[in-house]
Amino acid sequence: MPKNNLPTIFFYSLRLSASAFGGGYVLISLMRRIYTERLGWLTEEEMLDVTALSQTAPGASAVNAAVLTGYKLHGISGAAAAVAGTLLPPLVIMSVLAAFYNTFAEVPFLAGLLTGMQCGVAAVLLHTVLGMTKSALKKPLHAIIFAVFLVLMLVF
Amino acid sequence: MLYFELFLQFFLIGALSFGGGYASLPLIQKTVVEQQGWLTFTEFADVLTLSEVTPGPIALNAASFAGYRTAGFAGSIAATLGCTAPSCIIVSILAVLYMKYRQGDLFSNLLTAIRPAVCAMIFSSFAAVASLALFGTSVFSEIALSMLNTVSLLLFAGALLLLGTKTVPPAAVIVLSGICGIILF
Repeated sequence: MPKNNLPTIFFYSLRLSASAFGGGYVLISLMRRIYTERLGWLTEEEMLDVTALSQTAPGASAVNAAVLTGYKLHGISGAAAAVAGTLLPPLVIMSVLAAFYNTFAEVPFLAGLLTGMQCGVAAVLLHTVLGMTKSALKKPLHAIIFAVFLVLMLVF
Repeated sequence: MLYFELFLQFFLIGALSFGGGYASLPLIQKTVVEQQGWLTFTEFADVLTLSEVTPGPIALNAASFAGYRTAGFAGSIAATLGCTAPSCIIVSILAVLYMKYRQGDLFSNLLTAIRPAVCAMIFSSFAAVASLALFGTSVFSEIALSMLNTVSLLLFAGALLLLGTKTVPPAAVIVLSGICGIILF
């Protein structure tokens, strides 16, 4: 079991950000898998709280989640390490893509890759929700809140 | 000063985009395409596509891309830092409050009540992506059973089964689905 210190937090945040294809919720799904299921650094409830708070606060939820988990694990310096790790992959990757934009714009297999990855992202999101509902829906009231919000989200 | 302008505009985007991800797109588009003219609309649409196939949050991807196209790598850094700064400030305060009050009745009751809503948000995000991947549209009212792409459905089911075994990390499942997509579509 890796120790929870600054280099490890930086490294895990970097890895999470570098593998979160599709943005916020996907990163949170991956975060839950690593921090909750594999390392046991955060409980299922804490992970849900991190998700709720990072969605409520303005800004990219991936960065918000990095600040929260980093702070929870190692105070302000932990938050800084987590944010640095989260920023680096998109910064480097998108700068490279921007530099070679004219070559990248007409890649023939991009559409197939995109649709395939969407199927994978959909599966990851469903898998995450199924895992989270176990600790989030404990009372009938919770199921009602879930249903009401779901209808609101889908209709508007 | 272009670097400062990039930092400032993305600072505002970071501070004002509630709801994250796709909810922040109209704001980014308005600033980057319409007001500042840093990207054309086609370039902006390409950033969205590239965001789908590259890791990382969409707002940060847009910031790096627009920053680089406008002022090189330093511009990319300025835009990224601008976009991140509001989150760091606001969420650090939230984190301190959370650690201090999460055992308190009011705060913990509030969080317990929000948790099902969080599940609903992720579920609706799943519904949107699944509708695009399986039916080719993100408008739910347009969905008809005849539009169902069976290849996508099989790929989705396969990915879900693979995740259920807990032997393959989710990121690898997504990349694998993308590779299957190149071969199958």
